[in-house]
Amino acid sequence: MNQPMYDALETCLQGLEHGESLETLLARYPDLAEELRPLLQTAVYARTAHTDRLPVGALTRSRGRGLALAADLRRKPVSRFLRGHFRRSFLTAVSVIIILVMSGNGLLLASAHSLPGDPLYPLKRSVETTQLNWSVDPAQKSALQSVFSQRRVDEAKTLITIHRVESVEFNGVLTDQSNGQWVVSGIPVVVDPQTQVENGIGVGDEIQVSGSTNQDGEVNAVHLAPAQGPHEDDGQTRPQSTWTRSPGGSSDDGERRPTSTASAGFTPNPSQSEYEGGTQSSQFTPTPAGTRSSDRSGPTPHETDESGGGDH
Amino acid sequence: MVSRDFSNVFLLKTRMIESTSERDYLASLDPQAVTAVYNQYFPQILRYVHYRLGDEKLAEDITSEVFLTLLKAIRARRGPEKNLRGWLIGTARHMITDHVRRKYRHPVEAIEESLKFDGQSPSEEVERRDSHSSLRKALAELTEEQQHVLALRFGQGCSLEETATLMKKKVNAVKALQFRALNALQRKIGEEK
Repeated sequence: MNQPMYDALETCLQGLEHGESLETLLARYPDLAEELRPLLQTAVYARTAHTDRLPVGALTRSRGRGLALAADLRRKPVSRFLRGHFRRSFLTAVSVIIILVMSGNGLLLASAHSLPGDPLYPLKRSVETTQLNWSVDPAQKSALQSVFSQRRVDEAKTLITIHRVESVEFNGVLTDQSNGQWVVSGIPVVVDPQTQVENGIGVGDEIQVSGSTNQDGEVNAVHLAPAQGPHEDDGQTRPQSTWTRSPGGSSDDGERRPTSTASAGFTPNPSQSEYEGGTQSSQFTPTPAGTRSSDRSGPTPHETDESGGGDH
Repeated sequence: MVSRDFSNVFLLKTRMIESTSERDYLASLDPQAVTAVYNQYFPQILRYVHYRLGDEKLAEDITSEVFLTLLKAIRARRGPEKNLRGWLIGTARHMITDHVRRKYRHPVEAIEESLKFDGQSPSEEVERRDSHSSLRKALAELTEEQQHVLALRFGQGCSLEETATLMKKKVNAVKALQFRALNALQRKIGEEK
């Protein structure tokens, strides 16, 4: 916009720098002289703020401090890896990793003490599943399964101790089989007419118990079956719902309704459909308490499953 | 003798800093390298700071701090890549800004210096000081960028091109800026009077 003025000012400033007089310079720009004059006078005035004089000993003092600092810095070697362009990114990466590891470890530690129904319980089971999946040695895998199986028993005992109602599933040895009150690995298990009891269970057998703890320090069994050995699950607790016929035992409509016993923290898993609607659980005619399933009349689970399998 | 030769060679190299990375020479923090850098640049930076602040003692302190910062930065490999002078002036500029900001937050009353006549008559000295004082006040009222461009042009004696490089601006932008700076300074001086 005012480019001729800017250019003229710069030319005049250079002229002043080279010792030309103000009037000589202004004479070159008669049209702009009136505006240039005060600016050039100001420039001459502004130059007077400059000084060539250095404070006595300023350089010596400052240089002395610099040399002392340099000597000090030389004595403290910087790690080759931690300097240069890598330094900042390396430190950032390390910080992120530390935070992740610490928070991850914290979660794992917290989850190790979690119980069924706790928010971190699925994480605990996932870790166990991962451990099982990563163990190649069959002996090691078997040992792990035993450890995890014992954990399930311990969890159930803890829930009973604190009178917390949660769904549980564990394997244990049946030590007492009194009417309506079984004892599995020291845990009292209530067997009622709604409980599904598989064939071939007797005292001394290792059985699989599915049910839920109650306020009375027992486990209300939903399903009891001979143990298949510690199972490798996918970290999610099996659902506790099972299928029963509609009230009245009518099978005309073939409709099946879930009897919900699932508690918080238990999520049905599609991969467990075989367990849910397969050959083990499912439809049976309720029998009086203490009656063994072998004594039951009515269709076998397998037969029933076939008849109602299409509803799944 | 060998030391002096080395120092001279180094000095020559430091003069080529615009084309050569001086960081390599300084990386070792060798006493001779450090000395050469101080000898070369300390007076220039001191003059720049003095032009901006007008206080001899303060200028020395800030300039000294600029060079200590340089040594630490070089050690941490965060020093200047190419233009050592530009880096030093830029660092000095930041330190001056910080100082001015602190000064506004915590103003202190300056103690009037005793008059030193330096061969001048007392009346001449008083007149000189008054003039200097009004110029200082007027300069201090300019924008930071205007003060910077005047300090480079009139304090450092930088050419237009050098100023443009140091300010990372185009030549025409510097021309316009110095025009506005002188205009503003003229106005401020007029107000002072």
